[in-house]
Amino acid sequence: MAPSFGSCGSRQASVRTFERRRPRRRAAAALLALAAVVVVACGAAGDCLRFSDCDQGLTCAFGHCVLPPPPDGGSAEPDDDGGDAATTTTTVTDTGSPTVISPTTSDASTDAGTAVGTDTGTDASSD
Amino acid sequence: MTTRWRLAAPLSLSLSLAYVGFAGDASAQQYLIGASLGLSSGIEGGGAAGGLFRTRTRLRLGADLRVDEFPDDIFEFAAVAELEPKAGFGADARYARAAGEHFIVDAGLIGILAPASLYGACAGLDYRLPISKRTQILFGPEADFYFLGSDLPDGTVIWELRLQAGIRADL
Repeated sequence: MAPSFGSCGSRQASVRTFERRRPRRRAAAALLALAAVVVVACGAAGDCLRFSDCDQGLTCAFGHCVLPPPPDGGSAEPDDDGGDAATTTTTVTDTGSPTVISPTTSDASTDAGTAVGTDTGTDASSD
Repeated sequence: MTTRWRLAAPLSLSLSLAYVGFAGDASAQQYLIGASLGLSSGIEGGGAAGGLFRTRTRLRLGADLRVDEFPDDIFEFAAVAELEPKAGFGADARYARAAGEHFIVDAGLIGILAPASLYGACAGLDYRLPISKRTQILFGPEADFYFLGSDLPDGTVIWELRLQAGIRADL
């Protein structure tokens, strides 16, 4: 014998309507949350996911845009703090010119900060 | 000779009728074509640096094809153009399935072809809001996974979660 549900039809309809609305609200909330994250999310300058994220002349390595390794086989791995590769190259050039570095200012940070302008002037006057 | 003709005539007639009947069935099957235009953006991640990034804004110009006898099975093809902050161009192909009156779920393959290649899989959900008899507004999320290509650093899988909005029309 089939069970009789009496007047459950209208009750089921109301429950179904309620259940249909909740997923819509959840979906709308999820979409709004995603939209908020999209607005807020912004990677740091110089970070990359793809090679084409980097500017011309740079390559993507370990999540950062860096100068490509030299042909003789260097490493494109960035500094420990992910510093600018161009700054690193400048520092190497400065330490390579012994006429600029005085014995009293042997601090590396001082060299990096002051030697660039001095370097050019010294070279120009000596030539 | 006469006997042969007597046998051949009904045979050719029946073959002709069968052909006409088959052709009639085939012509009743109709292809339904639609075109869509959508703009999407979202978040992406998966690189060695970690963290979330905003995806490139993407324009998708697509076409969908289905047969009237199986209107729930849809094949979609599209050209995609990445607009900003960097430009790119590619295409995707998907199988879509109607899931209810207004919802379409799809899955397929996507490839960025220029300036460097990137290949992966995509899946999405579209909500189609009718604005006229033949046009609908599209809105929904999409997930992309890129795991092959010359634009991908070694050992990296990029995932993207996008929101797409656009318009579609039955042609």
